[in-house]
Amino acid sequence: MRKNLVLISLSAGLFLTLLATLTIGPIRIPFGTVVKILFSKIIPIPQTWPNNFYEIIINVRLPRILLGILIGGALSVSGCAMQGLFRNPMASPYVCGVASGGAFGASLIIVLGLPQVLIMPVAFLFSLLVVFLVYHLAKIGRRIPVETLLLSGIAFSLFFSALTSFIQYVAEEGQLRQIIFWLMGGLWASNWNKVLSVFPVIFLGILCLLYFSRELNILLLGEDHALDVGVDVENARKIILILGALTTSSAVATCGIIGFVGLIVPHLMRIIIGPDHRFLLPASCLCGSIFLVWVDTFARTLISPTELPVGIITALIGVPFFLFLLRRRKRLSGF
Amino acid sequence: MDKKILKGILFAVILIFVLISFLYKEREYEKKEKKHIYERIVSLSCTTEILCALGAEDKIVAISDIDKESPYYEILKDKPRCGGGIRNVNVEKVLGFKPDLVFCWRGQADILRERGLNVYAVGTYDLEGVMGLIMDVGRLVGKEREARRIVSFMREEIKRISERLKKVKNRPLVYFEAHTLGKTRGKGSLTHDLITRAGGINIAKDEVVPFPLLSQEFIITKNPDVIIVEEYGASPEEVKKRDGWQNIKAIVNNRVYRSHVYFTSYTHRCIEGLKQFAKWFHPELFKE
Repeated sequence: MRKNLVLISLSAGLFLTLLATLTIGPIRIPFGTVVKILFSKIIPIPQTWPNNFYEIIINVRLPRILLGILIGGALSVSGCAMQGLFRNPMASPYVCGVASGGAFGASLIIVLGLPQVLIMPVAFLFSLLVVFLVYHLAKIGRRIPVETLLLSGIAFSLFFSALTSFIQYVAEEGQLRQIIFWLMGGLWASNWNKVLSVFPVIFLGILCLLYFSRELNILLLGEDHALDVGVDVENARKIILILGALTTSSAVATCGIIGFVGLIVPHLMRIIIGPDHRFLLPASCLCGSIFLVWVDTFARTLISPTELPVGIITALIGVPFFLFLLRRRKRLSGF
Repeated sequence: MDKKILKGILFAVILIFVLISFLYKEREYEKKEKKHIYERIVSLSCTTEILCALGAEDKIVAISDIDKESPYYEILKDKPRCGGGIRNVNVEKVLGFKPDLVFCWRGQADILRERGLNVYAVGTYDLEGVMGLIMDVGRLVGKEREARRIVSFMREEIKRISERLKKVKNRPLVYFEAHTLGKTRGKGSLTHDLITRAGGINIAKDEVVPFPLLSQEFIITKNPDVIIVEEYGASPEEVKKRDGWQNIKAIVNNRVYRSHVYFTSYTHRCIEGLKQFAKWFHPELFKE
C-alpha cells in the first residue's frame, strides 16, 4: 500500500515538475501565460503574449523537458534493470560499453565532417554494435556469466574510449571542441525532431523492461533458485540486456553521455521503496525523469543566459544527497 | 596550534616562491626578445601564416597540422610537422629541430619552456592584439618593415570601415555560433571585437565568460538581425530549420551567413572577416 502511495506521489510529482519547469527559465514568463499558451493549441484563446513566448514555450522548453523526462526515465530504468540483472550495485548499461560505443560513433561523424544529422543514428548503431560484441565475447556456450560480461564490457569500453581519444588527437580544433561538447552530454540542443525520434524506442523499451520485473525479482534470488522456479535464466538475461542497451543507446545517441542518473536514482529508489522490481522499476523511471528535468532546469537557469553542462549539476546535487542517504542506511539494500 | 601556524607560514612561503618564479620566467624571456633575430623557427600556431606573409618562410623548420588550411600550404607542405591543435605537441620532435625560437599557443608553452626552449606563446584576444602579434613576429625574425606594412594596411582598412560606419544609427544584433548550438563568443574574444568594429552588436556582449554557451530561449528573445555560423558547425540551412527559430528576424529576412575559420583567426586575414562582417551587417554601405 505504501509502495503504491510512493508510485502515485511520484507520478503526481512528475506532472507538477512538467508544469513547474515550463514556467522556469532564463526568460521570465508568468504561469498564467504558460497555461494559456499551452491551451491555445487546443481551444482558441485571444493572443495576449508576444510571438517569441509561444516559440519559447512550445518549441524550446517543452521539447527539452519532454526529452529530459524520456532520457531520465530511460537511463534510470535500464540502470536499475542492469543492477538487478547482474546483482551488482555498480552495473549499468554504460559498463557494457553503450556510452563509449556511442561516443566513438559520434566522434567519427564529426571528424569525417559528415552532416550533423548523421550523429544520432550512427552513435546509436555503434552503441548497439559494442553491446553485441561484448555480449558475444562474454558468452561461454549458452551461458553468459556475469563476471565475463562485466569484464568484457569494461575492456570494450576502454578500447572504444581509446579510439575516441585517438580521433580527438587527430581532429582539428573546431571538430575537437564539437566532440568534447558531445561527450559532455546535455539537453540544451533539444528539438521536436529528437523527441519524436527517440520516443518510440525509449517508450517501448521502458514498457518491455517493466514487463520483466518478475523475472528480475526471481533472478535476485540467484541463478539456481531462478532455475528451480522455472525461469529461463539465460533467455531472460539476454532479453533484459538487449532492452537495456537499446533504451540507453537511444538516450546516449540523442543527448550524449549523461552520467550518474542511471547509477544514483535506482539506488535511491531501492532505499526508499525496497528491492521489489515490480515497484522499483516504475519508481526509478519516474524519479529519474523528475531528477533529470530538475537538474537540467538548474543547468539552464543557474547562470543564465549561459548554460551549464548538466553533468556537473547531476554530480554536484546528486552525489551529496546520495551519500547522505547511504550513510543513513549504512548499506545498499536489496543485494 | 603552533604547528598550524608553522604550516601556514610554510605554505605562504612556498606560494610566494612559486609566484616569484613565474614572474621571473616571463621577465627573462621578454629581455631576450628585444635584440636577437631568430633563424630556426618552429611555428605551431597561427604565426605560420604571419611568417609566410612576412616572407620569412625560409626560417621555418617545422610547422603543425593546423596549417593544412593555410593559404600558404603550397610552400609549407614539405615542412615536417610536430603537433596539431591547441594542446598537442610532440616535444621530442620539436627538440630535434634545434629551434632557436618556438611560436606556440599558450597551452603548449610551459611544456616547451621546461625543456629550455625559447618560446613565444600566442595569447591575443582582440584586433589590437593581432596587430601587436604581427609586429612582435616581425621584430623577432628581422622583418619589421614588412610587419609594419601589413599592420598599417590593416589599420587603414579598420579606419575606412569605422569611418563609413560613423553615420550608422541602427546597428544590427548579431548572434555568432561556433561549433555547437548556443556556443558563442563574448567580450574578451577576437570575434566579439570584429563584430563590434564591423558595426554590429553581439548578443553575448554582457556575458561574463568569453566563450559562453547561450540558451536557446535567450537567443530567440534577443531576436538577432544577423546570424553567423562558423563553417565547421551547423550549416545555415540547418539553422533555418530549427524549432522555435522561425520568427527570428535573421531567419525571416534570410540573413544567416557562414563564416570561414580564417575570418576570426589571429592573423592579418581577420581583416577579411571584418570586411565581410561589415558587408553582412550593412549591405547598403559596403556595396563594392
